[in-house]
Amino acid sequence: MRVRVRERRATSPSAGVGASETTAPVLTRLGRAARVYWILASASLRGKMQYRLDFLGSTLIQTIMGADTILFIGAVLWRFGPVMGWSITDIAMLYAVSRMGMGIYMLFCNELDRFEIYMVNGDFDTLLIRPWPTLFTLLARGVGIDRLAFLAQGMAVAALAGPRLAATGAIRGWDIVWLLAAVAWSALLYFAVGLATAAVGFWIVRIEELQVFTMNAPSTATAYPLDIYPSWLRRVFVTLLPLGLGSYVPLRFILDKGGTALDLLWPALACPAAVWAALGLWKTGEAHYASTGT
Amino acid sequence: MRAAVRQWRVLAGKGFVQNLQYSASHIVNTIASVVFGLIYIYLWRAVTPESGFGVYSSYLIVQYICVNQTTAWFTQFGMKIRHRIAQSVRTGRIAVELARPVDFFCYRMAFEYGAQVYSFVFRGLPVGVGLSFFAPLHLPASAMTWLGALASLAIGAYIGIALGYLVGISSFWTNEIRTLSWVLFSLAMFLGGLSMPLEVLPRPLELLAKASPFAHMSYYPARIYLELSEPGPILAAGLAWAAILTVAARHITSRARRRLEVQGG
Repeated sequence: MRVRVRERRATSPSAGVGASETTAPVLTRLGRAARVYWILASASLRGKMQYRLDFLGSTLIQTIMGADTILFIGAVLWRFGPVMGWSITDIAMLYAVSRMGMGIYMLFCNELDRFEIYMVNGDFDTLLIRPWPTLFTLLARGVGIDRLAFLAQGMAVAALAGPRLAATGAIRGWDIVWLLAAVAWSALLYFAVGLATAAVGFWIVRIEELQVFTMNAPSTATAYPLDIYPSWLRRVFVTLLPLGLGSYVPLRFILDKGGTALDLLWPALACPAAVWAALGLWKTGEAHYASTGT
Repeated sequence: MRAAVRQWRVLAGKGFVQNLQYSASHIVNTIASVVFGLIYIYLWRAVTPESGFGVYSSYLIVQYICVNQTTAWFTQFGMKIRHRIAQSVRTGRIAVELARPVDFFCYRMAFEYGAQVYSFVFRGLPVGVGLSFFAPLHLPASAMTWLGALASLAIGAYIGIALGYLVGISSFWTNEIRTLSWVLFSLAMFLGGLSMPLEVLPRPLELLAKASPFAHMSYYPARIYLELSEPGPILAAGLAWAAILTVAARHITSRARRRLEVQGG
């Protein structure tokens, strides 16, 4: 069964059929989208919060047990001291920024992360009959409250490392704003890479293994200063799999590890471009979608 | 006895063959695994002092990482036994599986073992070959070393699958096994010594890790392969852990059997 997405778009309310819709102010439409998002997201939240104690317990355990990467870094640096000029608090902040970016992505884009299920089971069909863009409906239907552990880990590590860096003068004044911006860039880059990976699912259906390559590997790699890698691998993590662009690049300047003030500007230019490219890939993939049937 | 062995062989064969369907996606995963291996190789090259630490020279520690990134595909990675059992419980298919004239524990263990042999041959070894372009792999000259390392790996895989089985069987009591899976994964990564020799840890944690079953999944097989440890005592300890986990898994399975309640018909 091949679903003709383009034709469906042309007749869907979201594409703006009636005269009132086409003339409606942009703000009104955004407000309506926000309301619909809230309704769908809160329904998803209510469903997940049916077992509150289970939710709290599992989040707490996941936060503690999932900190194996930072424990590994801690153990190594405790034994050998700073690596390439990066102390344990510097690397902790790098980890925290990357982890918080990932946490925001997981919170709002959880369904992208489990998009393979939609492709394999043919569940994407149900999104096509909704009167809203499929990506919007997809993101709204599953807020990743049960994956809050990533954000909690990042915030906990930032809360530990931040005051120490401030005490040594490594971060001061506006640096906090740039750090928050780095979290936002990281989240946007996770979204762009996650969206592009999910979009590839329109062609190859199974994307779980691809996610390991495009998301998990760069996510692990960028928890460490990219200075430890050879230049070709460093370039991969700031261009082809660009998660390092949101965290490492601005942080090396903020923490005085090299670079120039332009390091704060590159993510601001690259992140919107990456999201735009990923959205383009998603739209192209959606037009090629062939249901597996149910 | 012969029938039981044949049963194991057939089930393991099925587990092996089933995975052949996903060779394309496994190639992508292999590339990702090589990247993971490179991350740790370069990290260790950056942090290890020129004189090394303990018995580990800079060369040996890179070899340790390469060996583990290869063999983890047998003992840890790609294991789906937890999800297979949880899925069976969720869908009610478990009733059919328990009604089969095959021991449920043996059935699940043998099937997963076959899948892990596939995983090692078609995913682990290519990762080792890929990493050898960046850090030429050490190949032991002694046949005894090879035998000891393979035996240790076989026991490590059994321990890994049995631990996964225990997490999977918990789905008889709770629908949500994700948290337990996380706990198991984190413990195996951290206490198993996948990405670092356990000597890096603070002394009390090092001793705890070495005494745990997780160390048999990465640390000990790599030590034997790199000729840093004698196989005998390690294999004995590994077998003891395998026996303990088997008894525990069988006991819990019999309790789960009594608890089973299938809705619908």
